[in-house]
Amino acid sequence: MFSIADINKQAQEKFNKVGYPSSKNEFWRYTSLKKFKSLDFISIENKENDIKHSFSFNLDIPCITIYNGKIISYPKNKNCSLLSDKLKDCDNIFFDSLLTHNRNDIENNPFLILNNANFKNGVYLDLDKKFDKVQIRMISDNKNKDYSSAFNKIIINSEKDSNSCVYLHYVCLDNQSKYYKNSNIDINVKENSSISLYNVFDESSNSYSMNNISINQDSNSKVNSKSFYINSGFIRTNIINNLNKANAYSRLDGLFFAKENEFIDNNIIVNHNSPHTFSNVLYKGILDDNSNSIFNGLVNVPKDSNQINSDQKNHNIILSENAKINSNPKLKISCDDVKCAHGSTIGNLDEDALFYLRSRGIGLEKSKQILLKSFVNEITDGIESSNFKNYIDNSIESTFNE
Amino acid sequence: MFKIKNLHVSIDNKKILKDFNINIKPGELHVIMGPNGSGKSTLTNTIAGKENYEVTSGDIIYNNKSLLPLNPEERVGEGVFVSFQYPTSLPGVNNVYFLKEAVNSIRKYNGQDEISSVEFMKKIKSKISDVDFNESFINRPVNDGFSGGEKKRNEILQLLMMEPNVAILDETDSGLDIDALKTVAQGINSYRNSKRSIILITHYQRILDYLDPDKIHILIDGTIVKQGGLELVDTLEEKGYKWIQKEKA
Repeated sequence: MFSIADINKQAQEKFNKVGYPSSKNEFWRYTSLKKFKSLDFISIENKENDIKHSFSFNLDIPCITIYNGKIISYPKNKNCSLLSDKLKDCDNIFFDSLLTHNRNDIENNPFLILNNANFKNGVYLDLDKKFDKVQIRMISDNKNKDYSSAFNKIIINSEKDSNSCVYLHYVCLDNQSKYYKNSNIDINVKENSSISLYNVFDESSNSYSMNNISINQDSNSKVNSKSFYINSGFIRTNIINNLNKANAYSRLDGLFFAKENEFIDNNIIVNHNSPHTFSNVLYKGILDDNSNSIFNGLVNVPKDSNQINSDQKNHNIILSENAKINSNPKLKISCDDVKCAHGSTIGNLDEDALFYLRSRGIGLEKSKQILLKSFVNEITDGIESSNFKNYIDNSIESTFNE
Repeated sequence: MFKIKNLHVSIDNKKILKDFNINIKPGELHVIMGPNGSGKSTLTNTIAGKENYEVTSGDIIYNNKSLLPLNPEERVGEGVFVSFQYPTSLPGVNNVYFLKEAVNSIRKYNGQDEISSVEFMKKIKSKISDVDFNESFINRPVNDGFSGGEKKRNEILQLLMMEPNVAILDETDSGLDIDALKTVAQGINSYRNSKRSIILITHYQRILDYLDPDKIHILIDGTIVKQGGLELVDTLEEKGYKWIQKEKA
């Protein structure tokens, strides 16, 4: 019999060896953890009745609620279980699959080790034809002056031939509260299945939100992931997408509005581990005020992964002289027969387009909004749920109007 | 009455328009012709209020009010519309949304209520057939992926929807095949009435066969050097601009 405490212990030992990365590590060159490392965290008593909050979007689908790291509600069916229960009668293979802190490139992901070292419980989901939609709220709530911490762990399998949709909502109850949220989402996309994944970050301006999302794909699987940054404090998101078998396809999109003093740090790694795999990365940023953002992309094509097709793009519009972006789309290709494109752009709003709109009677502010909206449409257009699309559109609009 | 008086315009300290004058009464159609580099596009951009076009002296007056202190959206709100030689593409901006926003912005500027969706759709449906577009066009992004001719017809569609009192049309006939040229000319004719003034800037006589201009102006090196009726166009076709330059010398 295995336990979460075993995983915590092993991971803590690993972290003691590996520690935090230095700025010499190229995945952390522009990300300063100095302030974070100086913080002490308090633990919070969970009171379930604290959540009487109306959330920004409600989709009328099964919902899992995690409050300050504690799983307080989840659908009671065969598709959904607590990791603590799952561990009671699992085999070695399953247990080993949870030891993600032993991964090869783990020194780039200290927060994944810390998640393994500190999580108290997690949710395990099997998505199939009957149970195909789920919304997961990871709520942070802290009224204290000191920082609280919470560790979320979600493991998702999309079963063969299924077609499912997951909404991950990283949210807080008070946009000033101080907390550290560490979330780890592992997704296994099985043969012939497809999954749409929506990450919505609506965190407090004083938060640290450290997220590790790994997506492993089998043959003929399809992933459509969209990440939206509505409000942020300090956010770091690592997405590692392993295309392990032929005809796996992934599309990873992101949209971030960095404003005020927000720090938004995107790290997207796509590993084409098999020939005939296809990926598309498109991240768009709108950067305002004193915000600071990062796009680090890496498309990795190892030896013998021929006949792959990948496209990696990051486009940014800067609205303020004080806003900053480091954009770094990279390719690492070790074979010949591949088609890979990568690129990034950083610029102001198109002056000619702005003038054209104004010459048609549309005021300066409205013209800017129209151009920003057209910039983000490419990301928002593919959202299937009209409820969710309305929520995203309204959030965008209210950001533009501020 | 739309009037440009002793207008001097520089770009990056280079003088482009030099003492330019024109007077147009309601109902009139004036044509400005001139060789490449004579200042035709500078004129349209200056009227539209584009940045970096520095008016060093002179004035542009409509209804006894100077347009120069106004920003681009206020100028069109006052009723002065400019169709551009190279209309900008707006990827991701839906044409019908754009047109509705434009129409409503102008109504708002003039203290009118917004147009109802039903009325707007009725109007646009009748106007798109005037410019020979099918309905799918209005839901495409503005000018994005449009051919040269489609962009020009889209400018005319905007003209017909926005119904300004003064229209400055910059080479709206360039790059059009015969059918598209007729369509654009028909669009201009359907816009024209006794209250509206049009300045058409063109290189070619062709479109004038379908229109009925009141006056032809020849613009050379930033100045109107000759004015006359349609007979001036025939002489130009025969002898080219060098004839005027020689005559001037």
